[in-house]
Amino acid sequence: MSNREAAGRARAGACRNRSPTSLLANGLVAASLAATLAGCTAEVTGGSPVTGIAGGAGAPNAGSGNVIGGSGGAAGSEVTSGTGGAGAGSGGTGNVAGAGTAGQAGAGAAGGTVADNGVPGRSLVRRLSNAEYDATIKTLLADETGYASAFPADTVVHGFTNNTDVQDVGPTLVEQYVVVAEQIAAKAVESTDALLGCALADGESCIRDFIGRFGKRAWRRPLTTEEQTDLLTVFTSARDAFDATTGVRLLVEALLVSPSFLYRAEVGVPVAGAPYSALTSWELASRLSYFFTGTMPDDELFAAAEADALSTPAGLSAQAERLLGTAEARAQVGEFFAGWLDLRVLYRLERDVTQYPSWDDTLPELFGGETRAFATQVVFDGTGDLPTLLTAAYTYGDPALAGFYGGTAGQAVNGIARIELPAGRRAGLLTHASFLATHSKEIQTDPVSRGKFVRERILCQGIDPPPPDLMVTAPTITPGTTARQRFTEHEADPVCAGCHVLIDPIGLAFENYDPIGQWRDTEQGQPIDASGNLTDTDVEGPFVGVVEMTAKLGQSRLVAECFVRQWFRFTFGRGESTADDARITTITNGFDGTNRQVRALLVALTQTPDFRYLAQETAQ
Amino acid sequence: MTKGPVFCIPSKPLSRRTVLRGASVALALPFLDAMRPRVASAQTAAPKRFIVFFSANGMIKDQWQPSGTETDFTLSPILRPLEPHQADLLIMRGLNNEASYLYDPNAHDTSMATMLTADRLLVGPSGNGRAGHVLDGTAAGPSIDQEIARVIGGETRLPSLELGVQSTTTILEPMPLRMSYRGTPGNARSVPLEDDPKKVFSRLFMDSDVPAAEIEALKVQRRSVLDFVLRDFGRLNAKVGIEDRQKLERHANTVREFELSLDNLGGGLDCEIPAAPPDVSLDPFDCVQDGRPAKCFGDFETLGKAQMDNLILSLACDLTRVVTLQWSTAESTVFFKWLGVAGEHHLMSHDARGNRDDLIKINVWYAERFKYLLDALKAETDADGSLLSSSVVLWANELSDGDIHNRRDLGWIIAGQGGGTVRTGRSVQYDRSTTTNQLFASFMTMFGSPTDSFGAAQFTGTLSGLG
Repeated sequence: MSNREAAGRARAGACRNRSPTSLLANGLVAASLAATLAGCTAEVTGGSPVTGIAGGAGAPNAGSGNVIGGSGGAAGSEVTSGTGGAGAGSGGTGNVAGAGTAGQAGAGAAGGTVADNGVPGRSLVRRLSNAEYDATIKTLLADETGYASAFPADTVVHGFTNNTDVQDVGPTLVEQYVVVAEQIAAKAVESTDALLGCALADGESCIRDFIGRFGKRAWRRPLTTEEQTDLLTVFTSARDAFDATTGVRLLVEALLVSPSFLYRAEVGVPVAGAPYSALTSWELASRLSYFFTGTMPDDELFAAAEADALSTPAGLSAQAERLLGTAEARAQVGEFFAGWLDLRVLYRLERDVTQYPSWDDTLPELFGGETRAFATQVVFDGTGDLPTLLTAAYTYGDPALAGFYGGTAGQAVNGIARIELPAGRRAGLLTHASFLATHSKEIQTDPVSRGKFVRERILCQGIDPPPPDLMVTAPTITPGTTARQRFTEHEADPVCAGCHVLIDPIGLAFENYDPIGQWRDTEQGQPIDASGNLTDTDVEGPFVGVVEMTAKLGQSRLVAECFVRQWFRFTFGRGESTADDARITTITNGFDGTNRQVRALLVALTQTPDFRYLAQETAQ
Repeated sequence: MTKGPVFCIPSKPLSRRTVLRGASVALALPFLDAMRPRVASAQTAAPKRFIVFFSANGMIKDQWQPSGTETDFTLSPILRPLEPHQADLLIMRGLNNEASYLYDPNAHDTSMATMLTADRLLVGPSGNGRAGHVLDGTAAGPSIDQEIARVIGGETRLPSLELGVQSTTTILEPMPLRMSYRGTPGNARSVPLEDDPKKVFSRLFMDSDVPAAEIEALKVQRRSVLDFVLRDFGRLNAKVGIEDRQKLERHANTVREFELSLDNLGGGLDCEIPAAPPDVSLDPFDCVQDGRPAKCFGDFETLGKAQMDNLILSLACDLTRVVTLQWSTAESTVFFKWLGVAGEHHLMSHDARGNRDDLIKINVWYAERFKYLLDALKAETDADGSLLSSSVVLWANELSDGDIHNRRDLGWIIAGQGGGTVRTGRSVQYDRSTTTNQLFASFMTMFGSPTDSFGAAQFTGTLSGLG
């Protein structure tokens, strides 16, 4: 064996080893293994889904008590939420969320008292993303100007802009927070009395009242006496040095530049005997509102916080269900899908119209609109489940797309029509032109990028990089050869084959879709061979074309878990680590128990210890 | 852009302003103590400036390094555009970024995160993603530009300025593809870059239209707001966990710096405000070629020039004395179509033999940009000469040989005399044990905070023979 071959073999091993999820794919072994690792016994007793939405009677998880804390499973843990609302204890100890890892055992819907310590994962104070900043100012002051374009762009991790680990505040942002707050405040005091809700001429009593009322909304919690006094001083000193209107303006600026506004600062209240704190209803109101609506809490959430109605799982899920009914929630779900599929690069998509006669510059917008519309229609108005998102024989979008796809459009409502897709050619998100075109090169498809996307974002299987001494260039287009022929080098060379055997059989199955996402039967005059193979998954086996592949993926537990992983990142604003694997498995069990209903998943996320509790500081 | 290279006309000698600022800094010193390294001695000389000019993917060594002796040398084809400035150059051959080998999950992440920090890359909470990238990782310590800004940044309105040229358009978006880091060892984070020349321009002159009479009121009001903000940070920090506190404290420190910089607000600029930069799309894919939209990176050059003009302006108007300019990123995928090259930069750099001529063209192009910068700095007069003579301008590349991601045997250049601290007109070959840590320790010393170590603790010492 040559050195090169040896390197290839070693690399092949490395590639496969980097598929942690595949190792855990099959239930019981993994369950007991993980349980052993967690130092407790997996006990699958059935009962309501671990974190799922049971559906039917009763509030999810209600009455079961939210068992948290305590080592060694449910025993000895502390019941912190005795009130359950309706549907007392649906046959099990229920919401024992945490480090369970039941794998597939108990057919997903089981879960029950899995090995579980219920300790929340890592949580870090979260700054408002630029989009959240603008949305918050709009909610708070009915000011739709959109100031955050002056801020440095948020950094994107895993497709999302809300990763707290990378959202640091540098000098430019510090300065722009001040400058923008000055603009917002100047605009707000143009009609001072309307802002204050009382007459400035009434003096300090009006201001005190305003500080209490407006401060609570701006900081999303009641202000302490010390804070109110401090703010009043900002007003009075500015009033004395300048004038009363300036005082109000500085008051607003001070509130908006403060960390209590810019961050969702969470402190919680200690839980006796537990290494974590419980979030207050106020803090949970913000978690809910930013998760579901991307902005500050609305009046109902504030009222629920005021009544401390969010400290129970039932209280949280009731509000979660309500928020899912808002227009903002639909937009937020659309944001998730756009991030997951990396559609933010759509806006800069350029294709040569001489090469692709169907191309025109309006297509990227239609493509993006389609994916958002389809996802929200399925999630909110349709069957609501993940398999449908991956396999639906229809889409929603601008009727013009029907022509592009060769489908038939129904009646458009607000510019969006249901489009029946051509059978056997298209089904689900992975056949959307938005995905296909963004995962292509300018003048040829990109089977590697498409295949890697499926591995990394659909299956959550990491792929090693090419070795540093390897020339990695897409093969040049030569007349009369298809991409599949051009990419055979990957198989021939053991150094490449190690990883590409995982990527190419998936990526080349997409070859019927050209660089603008349009169907083609031939390439370079040669017929396209779209056969592929899913290896290292729980839906092994050969297939022909993406429609067959997504039918398989729709059944995959790995795909379901990966989808949960994406939502975990989006919900908690951080990348997950191996410490979160057990929690993700537990949530996935619940997700499976609902036949993978997305809305139920979102509500279930609010029931997790990660959502409700705050890990206490540990000396590092 | 139509304006000439000299667009800031000093209305009074810079030195007077410098003296005034020196006085105000001295008064404020007790407050500064907590934030800044101790300044060795009162600075009486003309102020020094520190500039970093970054270009990616390595150079072609045999076409880059000069021939001849230390003081009598001939510039290579790549550096030939710099011939008019040969006497102002210190060509540093063979420096080694050893810290980049302490942790190397992805060669591009590690080379960039360590380039100016000389400290190891740290993996983030998400671990390693595609191609080993540390998606939310960071450098272990602060970078040399930010450390210098901690020493001299309080003397100007902006402690430092971080400029990018299409620096966020790579398909890969992990943090370590940026070069500047703020914070303390073990608690440092990347500094966001600004890619938009118009935004930079308006930031430079944002308060310049405020009448003098209102400046004092603005200062008082901002201080009042910021004092409250800092009290809110204090109240919050007392309640949150360790990790949160570190994050909030990094933010609060930047607020404190901003508040201090208010001292330098107003009082009239020492220069005339030029016209704003031209309207240029920031989108590398949005440009016109052969009469139709194309993905041609055609604005890269225009954007870069606008950013260099901002850089020169910020120094000439003495708004800051520390500027970094990052052309693209590590692993730069810029397609220099206008140079007639075959493909995008990073991919070509992995076949340095096959793409030799194209890679030389790209490096020559960067040398021409560097020349533009030096021309302009030399044209700006300063108290004791030109802006160039008072500056240390470092042209750094994160790699030497892009094909094998080599961070040893680097080819870096200093231009300018740093106010007499750098002896130029030389081409110096360093031995294999010489680290960038030593260079940065020397920089700290030159900028008033003497030290014999910088970055990763295992690489100590300074670099002899700079001056």
